[in-house]
Amino acid sequence: MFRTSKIFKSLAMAIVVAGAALLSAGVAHADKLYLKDGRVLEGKVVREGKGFLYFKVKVGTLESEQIFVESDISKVERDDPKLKTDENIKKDEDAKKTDAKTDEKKHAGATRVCILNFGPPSDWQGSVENMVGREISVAAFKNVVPLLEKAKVDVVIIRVNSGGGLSLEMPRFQDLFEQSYKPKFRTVAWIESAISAAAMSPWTIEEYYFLPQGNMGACTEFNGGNMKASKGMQLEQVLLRMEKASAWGKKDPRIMRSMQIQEPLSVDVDENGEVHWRQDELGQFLLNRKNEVFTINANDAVKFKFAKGIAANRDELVKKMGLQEVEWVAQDATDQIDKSLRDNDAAYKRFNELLEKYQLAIGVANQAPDKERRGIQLGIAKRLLAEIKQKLALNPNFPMFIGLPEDWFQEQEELIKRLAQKP
Amino acid sequence: MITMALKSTWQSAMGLTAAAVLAMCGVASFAPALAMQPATKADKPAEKMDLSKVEKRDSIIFNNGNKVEGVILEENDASVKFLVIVGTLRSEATYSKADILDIKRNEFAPTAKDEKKDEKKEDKAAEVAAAVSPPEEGKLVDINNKPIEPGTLKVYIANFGGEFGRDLSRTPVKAMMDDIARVQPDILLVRFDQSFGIYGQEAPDFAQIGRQSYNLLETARELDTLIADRIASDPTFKVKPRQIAWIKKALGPAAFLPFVFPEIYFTSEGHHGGIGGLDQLFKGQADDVVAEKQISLRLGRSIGLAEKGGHDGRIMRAMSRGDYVLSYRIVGGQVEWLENQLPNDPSWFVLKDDGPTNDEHKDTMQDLVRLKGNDYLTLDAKTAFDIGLSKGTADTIDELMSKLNITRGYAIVKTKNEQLFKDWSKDVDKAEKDLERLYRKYQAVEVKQPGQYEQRTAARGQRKSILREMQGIIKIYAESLNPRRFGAPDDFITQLNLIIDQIDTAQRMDRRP
Repeated sequence: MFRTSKIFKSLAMAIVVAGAALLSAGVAHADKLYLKDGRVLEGKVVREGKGFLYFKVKVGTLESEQIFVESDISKVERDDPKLKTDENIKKDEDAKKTDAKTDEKKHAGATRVCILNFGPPSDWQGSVENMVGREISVAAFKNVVPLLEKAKVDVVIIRVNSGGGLSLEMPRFQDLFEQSYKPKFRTVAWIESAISAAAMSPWTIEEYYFLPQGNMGACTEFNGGNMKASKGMQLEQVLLRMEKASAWGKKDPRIMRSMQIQEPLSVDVDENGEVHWRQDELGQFLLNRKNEVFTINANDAVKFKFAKGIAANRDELVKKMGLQEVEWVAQDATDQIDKSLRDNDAAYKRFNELLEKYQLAIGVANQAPDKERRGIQLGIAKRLLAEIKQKLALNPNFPMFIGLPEDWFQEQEELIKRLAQKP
Repeated sequence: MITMALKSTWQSAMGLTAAAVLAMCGVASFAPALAMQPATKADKPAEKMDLSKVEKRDSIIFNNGNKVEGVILEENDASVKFLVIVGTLRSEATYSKADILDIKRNEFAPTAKDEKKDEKKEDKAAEVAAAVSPPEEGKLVDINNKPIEPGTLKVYIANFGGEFGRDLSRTPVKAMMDDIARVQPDILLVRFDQSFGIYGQEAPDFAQIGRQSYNLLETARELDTLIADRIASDPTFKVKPRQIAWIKKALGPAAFLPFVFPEIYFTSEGHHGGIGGLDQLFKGQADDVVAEKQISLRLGRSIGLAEKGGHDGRIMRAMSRGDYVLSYRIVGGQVEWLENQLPNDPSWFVLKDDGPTNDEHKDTMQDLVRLKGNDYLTLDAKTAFDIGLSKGTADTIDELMSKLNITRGYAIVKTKNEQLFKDWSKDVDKAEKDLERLYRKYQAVEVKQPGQYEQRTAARGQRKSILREMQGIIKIYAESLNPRRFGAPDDFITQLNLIIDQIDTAQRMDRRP
């Protein structure tokens, strides 16, 4: 654990000044730090890493936190044998948060759970498409937050089934889950199939469960036009974004990296059952060869502690989540998300038809031999234009999908006016 | 080829382009609008197809395993001009002999014996149709029409035959599941004996059509929810039957679905696989990383189906991916796997080598046609049993029941299952024929003399009515229509909507003289 480095030696010279937060009394001072210069400090090990250790000491009523490097230390006596590594500290914090959430329960009685479909489940029989940013919209997930709050929801389950979609929607979802969902609800992902942007969008969620057929990965960003993967600065940006998302989601960043680019991935499992991910092919378990892009399935996800369990249905899921008594609530939020999937799907499927009909109506109006017939066609064109506008309003990404310039509506309205004035 | 020709014919001949309508709108009289122009003889496909009555005679098997059936029209040292016949459709194509593995001549020549056989088949079909009338509500009978006593173990047999995704599709499977819910069997036994092919094109049993098979992976995922998930979640299934797949032939796209069954048995001639070549996906169309992504997501989903049934995902990978190597051996009664390397030790049995990426290990034609190739894994009964995918091999129901350790009496429930699938297949065939017939009818609509406003209006109404009838058919049979002949159903319906809109526009612009 301790390895000396020049950086830590110089750090040891600087004493971390006690702040207001350190003034609190009541810290159990049970650890003893024996220094090579003969001093023995009583206090608490608060953080440690390779070659360094932060130690909180109390002198009278004043507490201070100091950093020591391996070369200064001869021995540490601990009250709590658990090392204060960043990993262990995070675990403790998470446990506290979970306890706090349980304590802060917004109501008495059963745990209130809501399920939201991030993409249509397979039992919708392909009736609705499942593209992130098109059918699956961050706006819809944002809009239901007040409904979830109103229903005093404790747990939100994001059930994922999607083959991917737009990169631009992915960071929006990550931010939404991180900033609006996780602080308010125990947010859980339940994976049927999470491919590409559908894997990256909920990546910040920390608690994962899979359906038995669940799969997640294949996150290569690419240009759908020329079928080429992102390269250079664009690639670095999306890799960096996912490193950040991995930190938020408390996942080893190597997993996502192998899902994004052709990087090997293997796993070692130590004698304590701890999983150590490796970006090579040399671990005990090879999960992804160097020429491949990684997708993880349910069994491996659980075996290597990426997911907490496999559940085929809602009842199994809540049992796996350790919930004893559950009330399914906020059906309006569930319905609203499903409706947005259906509406977006229906709208997108109609655009080509509406645009072609509109072009025909305008074209015929332009060449109509008299005002009466032109008027009829322009009336139809106006109606179609209104319908196009209404459907576009469902999803801010639609204009990009359809390739309509920003000022297109204005141009068309002016054109209709001009044609109406034609003798 | 057929599809492209037909689709482009439909799109150009049926679909009045906006430009055409607009051009006609410039004509002062608007009469007759283009939408109402009488079809010329040249537009009529039936008259263009001089070979429409020719029957299948020969077949060509390609190096990649694909097969086409039809009639050889011309042949020289380098190529074969071939009339491809699929159902009622015919299309001419020229194939390079370099791509051809074998030409079978007169394979389909009818004989007097065959004709008699066909008559018998028809008689048999009539017999079956008569025999499978549904049992009265609440009174289950066995296949010998004997009432099933309460407490008897009930076996429901479902026969999954025909083409996966066409004959076996959502609608008949839903209907079958309703029937199963009515019967409440203890055992659901699904017999897989499907034609190896896709979109009407059959492949020989040694072929690998992974790229095409994977197009129907989503269909398998959806059908799975109708069967396994419904049984698990639908409270009307008071008895949750054991779900057993019994494989005679599950090759190509039909290979995915059996994996979701927790118990799999084979017949002694059974074969399962034919989905190799996934790694050829997007070859030449995408860069290496994107191609790998596409392979990865498909494998992720297909392996998911295997894991759902409780089977090892490595089997699916070995069936699908060319550069994967898999061997096994039995140690202490357990299967031990060796991945990504060829074994040095003779105790290992190579299930799949690196033939697709290493010419030295490539399957020979001799091995291929004898079903002994191992470039991709296609399971036979013995291997499937050895590696633990199959629980046993049985050729008859009695044998199978014995393997299932069912010693007390059981009854095979008489059901409408077989008829149900037969009816669906027949209806789909009819629907496709109807679409072609209606297309011709649409083309033939003429403006009656004297060609005035009333006659033009009537003809437009007639055309719209035909188009709406076509839309109705497409909506009902969308899941099974051959996309190579009719395109994507949603696009087709949109196209017909646009044509109707063009006709409406022409009508609005038309006036009495």
